[in-house]
Amino acid sequence: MTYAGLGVGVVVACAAVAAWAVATEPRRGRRPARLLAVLGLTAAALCLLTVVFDSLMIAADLFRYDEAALLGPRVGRAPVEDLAWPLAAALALPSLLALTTDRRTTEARA
Amino acid sequence: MRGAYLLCLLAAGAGVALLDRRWRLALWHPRSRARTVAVGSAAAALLLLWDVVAIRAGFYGRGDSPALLGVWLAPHLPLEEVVFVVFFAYVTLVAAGGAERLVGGAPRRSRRDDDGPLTDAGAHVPSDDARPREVAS
Repeated sequence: MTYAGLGVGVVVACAAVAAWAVATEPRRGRRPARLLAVLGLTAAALCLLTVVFDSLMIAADLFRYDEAALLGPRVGRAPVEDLAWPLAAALALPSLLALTTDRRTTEARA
Repeated sequence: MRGAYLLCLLAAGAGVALLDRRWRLALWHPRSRARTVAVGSAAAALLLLWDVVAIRAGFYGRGDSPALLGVWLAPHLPLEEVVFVVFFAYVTLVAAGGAERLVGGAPRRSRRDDDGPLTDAGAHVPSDDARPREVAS
């Protein structure tokens, strides 16, 4: 197993949850395109934050990578593999919220 | 400075909480707070598991920063990492709340038009009073 392989595995699992959530949105009275847009915007925001702050954290020497275990490309100072974190989180969390929030719940509290 | 990283994490978390409260994005979202906490906690636990697997596989490990507190929960796993994964999950929830607001997915005052244009009251980043203040939380 490589660090990239671990990241890809987690992202694929989260993407499966997201696909399920998007596909079943109509059942909860919402348009799938809306959740897709939320997933995309969340991923973009988190990836940007990750590139900035991961780079700062690496520069501060809070942690070090085994260079031999990395693919090589970096965004800022962040290894590309670290982008698996924001991607996985951005796919999974909004999807889990959507899966557990049906229209009735929303209306009852709106 | 020793502990500076932890202080930065806590300060950043407090800042994100202010955004959350101001725009009701996650913990202050009109949906049930228990559900938000449950999803966030599960995510933080899985992120920590991911971390531990990566550390045990030797992909990364401790640095030599003087900003670390020096409290180690396991080899290469500083106390700060637990705070970090909680923070990361929280930022994700807040970002998702913001994204939801941008695309007009927040609970709206007028319903019945779920498939209608995104031009009604809830569709914009709210100004101070764009969302009802009397919503119970």
